[in-house]
Amino acid sequence: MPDDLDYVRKLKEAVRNFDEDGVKMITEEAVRAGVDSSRLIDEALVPGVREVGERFERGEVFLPHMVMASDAVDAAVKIIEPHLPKGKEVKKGRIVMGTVEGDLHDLGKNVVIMMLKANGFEVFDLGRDVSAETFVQKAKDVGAQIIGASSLMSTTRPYQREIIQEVERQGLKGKVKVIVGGGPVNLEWAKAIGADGYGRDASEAVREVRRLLGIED
Amino acid sequence: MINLLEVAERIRTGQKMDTKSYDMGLFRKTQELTKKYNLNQPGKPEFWEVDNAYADAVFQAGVDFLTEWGAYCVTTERVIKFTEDEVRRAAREIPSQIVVGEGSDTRTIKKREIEDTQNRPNIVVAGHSAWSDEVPVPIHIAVREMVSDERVDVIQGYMYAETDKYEISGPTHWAYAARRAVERVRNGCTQAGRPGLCVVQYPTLTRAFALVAAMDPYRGLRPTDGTMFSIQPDLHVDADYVAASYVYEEYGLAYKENQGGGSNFIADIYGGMIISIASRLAAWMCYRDNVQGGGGAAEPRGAQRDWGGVAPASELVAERAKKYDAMWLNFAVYKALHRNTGLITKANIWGCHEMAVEQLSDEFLLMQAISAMRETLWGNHFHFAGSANPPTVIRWPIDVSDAVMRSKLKLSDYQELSSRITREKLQGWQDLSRVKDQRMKAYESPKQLLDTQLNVYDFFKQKISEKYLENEKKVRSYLKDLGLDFRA
Repeated sequence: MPDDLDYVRKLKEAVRNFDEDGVKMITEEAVRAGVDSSRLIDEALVPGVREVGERFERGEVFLPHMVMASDAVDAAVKIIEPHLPKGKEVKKGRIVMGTVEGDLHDLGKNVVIMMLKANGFEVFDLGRDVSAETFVQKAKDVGAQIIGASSLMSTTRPYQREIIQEVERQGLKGKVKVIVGGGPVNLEWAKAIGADGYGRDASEAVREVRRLLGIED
Repeated sequence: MINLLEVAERIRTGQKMDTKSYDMGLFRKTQELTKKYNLNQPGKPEFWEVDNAYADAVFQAGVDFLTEWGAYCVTTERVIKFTEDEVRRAAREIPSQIVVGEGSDTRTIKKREIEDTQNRPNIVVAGHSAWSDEVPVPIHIAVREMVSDERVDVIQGYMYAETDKYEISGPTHWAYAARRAVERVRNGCTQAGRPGLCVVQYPTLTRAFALVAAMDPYRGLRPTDGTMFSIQPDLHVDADYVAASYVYEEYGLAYKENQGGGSNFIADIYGGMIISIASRLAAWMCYRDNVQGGGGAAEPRGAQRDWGGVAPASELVAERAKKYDAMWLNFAVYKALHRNTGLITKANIWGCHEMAVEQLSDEFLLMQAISAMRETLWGNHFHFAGSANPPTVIRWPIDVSDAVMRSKLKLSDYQELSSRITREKLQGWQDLSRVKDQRMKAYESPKQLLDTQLNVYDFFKQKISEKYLENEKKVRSYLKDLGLDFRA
């Protein structure tokens, strides 16, 4: 009869191996066996997917693996959620992300999303060519604390400022923070338009989000 | 060949699929095709020994990818599938010759052969960069100097965050900026006495109206000019690009360029080979791109890169490519394209401003020389990437290429020469090739954008630095001693 630690170890291993079916099966078994749900999250899912993120940063695994690991964790969370103690949050924070209006480049944005997910954040991907109004509306709809806006062209960069203005116009300043990034974006620009944060790359974006949400490493 | 209205129809009616599902399917399909065609083979000791059967298998895998999985329209979130007949026919119909430019600047660009020592490479200089009015050299002066050499055949332009004090944002300003961007490059060409030179638009925005805004035979893009419409990574096609391609096809635009072709959703370099082929075929079928990057087996995103594309010395590549026989695989993609299509290909010449922190030293000149040798013998045309390069950076590889052709070198000679040069002169220097993209200075510190170039060349006085001239003389003499036939 496996003990709690066996389930935790196996679950973490399945996440590391990007094995969604395995993750689902082990999670279901663990829940049935009465393993503490918080333990499954804190000791298996979160460290497992974070490890995949670290391996991605080291160039040992690639985006499909990140997606598979992230999907596996999402599937496990769906199974675990009904069994969590009241008040226990699975995700560390909610973020709405997209590429700004007029811009179809989404490579950097997708990598940032994967890294955020690997670090336990819930991310809503709005895709490309997203208007300022859509960013803010979605943030309101899902109760996001952060909007992440990417721009890959100097000619679409001004739309990052429009998002910040839209946040202010809707009276959400301070409640919804805006972080910006992308090729033509730098710290100077982020400060000039009044952004709350700036991420030069995916790792820095994750650090900025943690800082803005007051999460300690 | 499949017409663009039919492509537009498939964009509208193809199978609906979210991006993540398409991308993950791409990953799985490349894994499947890698197995089916046994692409995961150990490379041969000499990169040019790629056999025809392997190259054809790589090509067939690219064709299968388009017929079995297809390209993806990011605008409508639909899959665009093609039949094998359509892909094969399109491959056959890619033109192997185009005519660009006007008057005395008219140029014929032809597909070159592997080890081609008859047809000299054509020269494309590119901004492919943002530009700011704060840069200490005005754009028309930079362009004037870059195209002053008659050997330059094409120039690709720039984009601006601000034009004439207008921040570029919103449809009218985007259209304005697209037109001014072409006009400014043309002014520079005219000042160089080359008003008919083929100007290639670097898109200001990826919307159809902005892509065609500069189309104007009097003040903008002429039919003898060009534009860059790249396929986004992972075979992502944009409906606005297809629309603009349709308009430009009716306009008769001479030159259409694809610089894309990579993938984020491959997990090994073999998948990268398949996507590389499929992207080039898709760029021709969906955008009519008739000049494209010369292939290359894209590594998975985040992988320890081998820098095969930018570090031309085979020894350096071998040292870095612990995991893959990158040069061999890159050549396999090139050969696959070359054997099965008439595609005109070009390749980046190492050491352009995009990746260089200096353009002056002996080592820099030797790295450029190795790059020029390689691309001349692979059968590529030359692409000099942005933001702006002094004429020295353009002229030197041309001189090396001419010497390679006069010397009638073979790929095996290249291998031997590049190894020897690396061993004798480049030890300990190679890491300089891995630098941050210098074009980013256009945003961060535009006043410093041209620091590297200004050390070599005075764009106003048209004067090359003494140090550069001294170094070039030394390097020329060294290469002459190695057997390269330089003329006075």
